[in-house]
Amino acid sequence: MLGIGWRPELAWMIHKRKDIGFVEILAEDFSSTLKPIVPIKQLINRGVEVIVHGTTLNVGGSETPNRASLAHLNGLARQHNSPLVSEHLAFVKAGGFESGHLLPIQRTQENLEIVVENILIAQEALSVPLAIENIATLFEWPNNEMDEATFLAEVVSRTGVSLLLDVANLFANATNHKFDVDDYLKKLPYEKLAYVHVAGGIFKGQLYHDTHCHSIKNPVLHLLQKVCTTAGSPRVLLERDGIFPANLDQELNHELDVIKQISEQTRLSHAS
Amino acid sequence: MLAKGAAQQRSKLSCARAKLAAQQTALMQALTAHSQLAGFDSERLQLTAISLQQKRLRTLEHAHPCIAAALGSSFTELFNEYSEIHPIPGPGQTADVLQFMDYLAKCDLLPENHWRAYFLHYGWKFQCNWWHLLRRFKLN
Repeated sequence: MLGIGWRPELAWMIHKRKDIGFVEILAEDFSSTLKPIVPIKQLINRGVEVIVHGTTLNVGGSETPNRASLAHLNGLARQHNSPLVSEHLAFVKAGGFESGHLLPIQRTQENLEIVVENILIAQEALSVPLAIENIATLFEWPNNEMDEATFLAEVVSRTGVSLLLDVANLFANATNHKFDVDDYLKKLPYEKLAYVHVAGGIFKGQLYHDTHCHSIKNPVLHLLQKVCTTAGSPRVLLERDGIFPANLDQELNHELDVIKQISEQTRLSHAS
Repeated sequence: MLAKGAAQQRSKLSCARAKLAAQQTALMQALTAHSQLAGFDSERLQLTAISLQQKRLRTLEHAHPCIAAALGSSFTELFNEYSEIHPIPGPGQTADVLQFMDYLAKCDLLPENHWRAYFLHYGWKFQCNWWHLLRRFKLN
């Protein structure tokens, strides 16, 4: 199934594209007390699923998840009849400050216990299943006790939470922190894979920046193909958060076609 | 015996949370102050700090494109001045937008009809943060 992150700038393009099976809405941009806005309502009416995607639940934070944030996610999920809510394995708040961006957590056994407890609390409060996404980072904490894939797999195994695999984030981290993607992919629990994210980015020198504002690079598409082959053609969602040029529809339609083609090819090869 | 074990586990987790809070706060402070932090790759930390600041700028531009358009090329310059005075964004994106607008108002650089534009763009189109909008109107 093909998906795209719903943004106001892309509303018309998404409306016109009839093969979109699901969209994501950013939880922080919507009110949980009002009815779904017209363009989203129209998508729901034609059978498009709406997944609520949050960025500020702070499951990697030192405090337990905020009740108001969970109620907000729940409200949005109910309004949009969402099959699940997704969030990030990251922290965004500490000491009363908000970073405005997803930051990595130190991967230690001690912190794993905290993340597990936070996710269990969130799951208890949510009326729909929760999926957790891997994030892209430019830096690593010192003294990590385990690699990212092991930490992610442990979180999934201990909480039963679903997995949202962002292949662009995975590519970014593998490039910037120099680890083996195949080794990472081997450790993931694909039976818990809810869907896959793919997005564009740019290289600045030797580093890859996951911007969500540029076209998808070929290595990311190759990685997507690899994941689709391994995971048996999962749902794939394209994210675009900024830089909306006049010919954006053309660019995004092309990217969606490529994603669809990859997904179809792997589905057919699995079927045969 | 079981209750004692559970209490010990709780106390251990509570200590771990306090330790994590201190570590994450130190990191957050280093990122907002563009300073180094022991054990971290300083170059990568600096890149992340720049990336955070750019994201903050983009968020403000996106939240209020009318102001960004009215201020033109000086928007980025004004943001840089603002972010030096307020290195830490307020709680939530809207708080940062409002704080930035307060800063512009103090500098007498806020374009006319900005609230109408803000309401139409941010409130009507996105249906978001009505509470902040309403509170803001009431306060003014």
